[in-house]
Amino acid sequence: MSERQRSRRQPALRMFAREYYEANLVEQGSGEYDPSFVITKLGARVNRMCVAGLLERMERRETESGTMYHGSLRDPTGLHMFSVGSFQPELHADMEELLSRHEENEPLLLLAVGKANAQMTDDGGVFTRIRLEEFNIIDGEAYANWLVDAADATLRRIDTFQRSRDLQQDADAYRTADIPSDLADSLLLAGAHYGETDPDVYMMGVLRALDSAEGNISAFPDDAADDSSGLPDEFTVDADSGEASGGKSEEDISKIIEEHTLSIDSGDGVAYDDLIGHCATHNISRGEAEPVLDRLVDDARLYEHTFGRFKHIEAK
Amino acid sequence: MDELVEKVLEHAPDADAEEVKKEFERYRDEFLIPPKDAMRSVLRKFEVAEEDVETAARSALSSGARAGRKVDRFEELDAKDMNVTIEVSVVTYTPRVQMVRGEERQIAFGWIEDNPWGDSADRIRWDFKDWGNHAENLAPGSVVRLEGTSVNEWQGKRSLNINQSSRVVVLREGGPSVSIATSDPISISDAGSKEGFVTIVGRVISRRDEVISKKDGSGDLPVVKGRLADETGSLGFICWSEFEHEPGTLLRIEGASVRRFRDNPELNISDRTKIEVFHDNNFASAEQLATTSMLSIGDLLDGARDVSLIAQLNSWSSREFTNADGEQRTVWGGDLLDPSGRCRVSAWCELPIDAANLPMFVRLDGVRVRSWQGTPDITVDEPEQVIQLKEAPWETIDAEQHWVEYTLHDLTSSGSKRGIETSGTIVAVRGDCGIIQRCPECRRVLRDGACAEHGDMPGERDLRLRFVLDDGISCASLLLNRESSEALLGKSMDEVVEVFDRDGAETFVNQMREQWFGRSVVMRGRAIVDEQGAMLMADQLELDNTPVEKRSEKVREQWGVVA
Repeated sequence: MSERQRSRRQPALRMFAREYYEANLVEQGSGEYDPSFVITKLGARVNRMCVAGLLERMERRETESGTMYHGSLRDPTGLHMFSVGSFQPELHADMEELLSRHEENEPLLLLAVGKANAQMTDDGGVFTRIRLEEFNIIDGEAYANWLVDAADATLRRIDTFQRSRDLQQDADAYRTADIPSDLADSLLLAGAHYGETDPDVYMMGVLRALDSAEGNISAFPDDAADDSSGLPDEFTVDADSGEASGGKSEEDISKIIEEHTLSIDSGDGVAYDDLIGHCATHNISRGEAEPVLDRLVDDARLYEHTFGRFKHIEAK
Repeated sequence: MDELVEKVLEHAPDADAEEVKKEFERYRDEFLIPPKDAMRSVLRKFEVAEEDVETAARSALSSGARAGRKVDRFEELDAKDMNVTIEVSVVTYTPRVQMVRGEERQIAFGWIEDNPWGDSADRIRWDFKDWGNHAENLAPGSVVRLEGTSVNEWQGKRSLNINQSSRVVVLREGGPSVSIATSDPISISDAGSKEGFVTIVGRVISRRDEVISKKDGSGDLPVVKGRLADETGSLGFICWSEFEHEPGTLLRIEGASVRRFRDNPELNISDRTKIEVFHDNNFASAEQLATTSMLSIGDLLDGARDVSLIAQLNSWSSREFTNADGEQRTVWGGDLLDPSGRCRVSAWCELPIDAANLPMFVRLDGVRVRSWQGTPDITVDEPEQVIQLKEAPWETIDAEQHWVEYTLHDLTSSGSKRGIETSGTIVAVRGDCGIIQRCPECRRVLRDGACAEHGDMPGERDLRLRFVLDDGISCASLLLNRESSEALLGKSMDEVVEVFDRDGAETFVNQMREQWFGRSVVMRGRAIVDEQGAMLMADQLELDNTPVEKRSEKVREQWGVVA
């Protein structure tokens, strides 16, 4: 099997819920294997993220393709929505356990790492959530540590954002002003896409988080940063299945990709573009097809025969 | 001949047919050059662009030329192939200003290798010439798809022409792109971060004559090696032609090329480089530069030569071995420390070091840097390169406690290092933590009892832990070998085997995840950084026990957020 060429692993950004759910700019990778990103108003370029909070909602849903789980974590700024797909069976037992403990009203603090996942809503909006990769139930001290880390990361972004606003809006000016390279490009895109951004709302979240971490829960009035107004409801979005694929589940998509790979492979695999193009004829966007393709490769259903060409494991 | 005239007219539509024919006849009659052989000259005469001459001539002269070929390997190519598409990795890229028919043209040549995604041992290297100023897309280290290139054969040796009309698609980014020659001097530290032609002003710190044996056995080549410095740093040089300047001389060197030997930049001076003695009374003296050109262990890069440094030697021992020629040889080795880090030193000659006097301080001059197990180490070839210091440059460092702190982001964006400490959060616990079986031949991990290289093998048990460490800006694999894992788990490998056999691998991994996932940790050990990313080999791993109030205070202080 040929060496797999993948992008380097993306770092897990520490981010409060509000910054993430207010983001609606999606950057699809330009290269064949580039990961896609959600760009926030503060210019964070999110592929993987590390979040934490109190498990506030937890739900199992039976779909045509199998069981899925949805949940949300509350941090000082709002709710982080996460999901576990039917194609992640290794997490299902854990989800069942969370579900039953949650149903018994046991307060659970979670720290989770997952991939940014953006979906179009019916009215053309963008809805951001997290596809869970790994998580842990944590104690208050670990949560306090996460609050400090997320505050630190957010303050760094606010600081960079403010410095960047006084500059000429181009890459050269950013470079001269030492705007960090992980933020420079995405800050330019964010500026062009979001227009005016007031970083103060994110500063509120930071202050609340630091106060909480220091044990000063009451120091900051609870209504100072109204959190979840305007937040699209994850549960209705999904119930409507208002996705570009017309509600195709990951399993449907897997099936389409697998069948296509098996049927047209004439010996040297099937090109990535061909696969994505085929999915498009089934109304499956690249954003939807790609994670499923990744998944199939991870699960060793498909493998990269040569660069950019995939073979099915059962192909002759 | 008329056919050839027509071909020329295809590429030079403004030319007059009679004129072209006359030119061919002139070559034939005056110089006894047959029309076919005169084709290139005639094309040039009628001002066909240089990059098209070769293609035009080839297509005119050979009916057998195939067009539009996509190949995986060089060996599939024919000497007449044109419009070739192939994926290659770029090894070197050397720009050069060449006079082409009285005009200065920026061209470049270098090496490319096929099979860029495959085993590096299974690659074929070819020369290429870039006629189309593709410097930005042909950075050394990158993997590119070349489209519309043509094969060139010259005295039986084949190479690839990348033409102006060729397309270069970058599939994987390489290092810095090669800079175009300029006559404005830049600082030596800037020159060291570039690739390609530069002009510098620097003082000769050291020089010595050496002889290089040519690889093809065709003889020896005298060269001069040494080091140049300015206030910003120092750079090794290698001169392939005469170099009569003594240490201390200030030189202006124009049009020398910076190339990397392993990770280390080196200034290549050829007979095309312009060297002149430079006068500047304000330029740092040789004595001043002698101290600034000293390197610290933390700065060492694989492949560096003529390195000077001061270090603390903490251990010294020798080892006998039999080399490939059956000779008995001895190699000496020890551990070096300085405030910036630690490394190993090995010596191919006996040094007057009495192990009873350790630790001692030494000054090393003109030594080499080689990578061993991924991190740069020092090699001493001559006894004169080592001087024992009478005065201690710093208070003796305790080797057991000496770890140099880096942020994870700084570690992942610099060279490999030993003796480092860094911190971050564990954001993944790999499913293959715990007991594994290794191939007794090559130490690869067996999958289903088989080695990728050696097939079915009786495995040898080993214990290791694999995590991903992440600080929110960068991430790196974090590995613990058997010894470090045993220390972390507080169990011997045999005890872990028992747990494994009793509860199964999954239970073990779940327990590891419960215990370590999402935790802030501090690791100490070494960092190996290459184009695949960074790998941290932990000697020690522990929870970061900084109280949360302290962490919060630090964050408020750094960003000016008052409580």
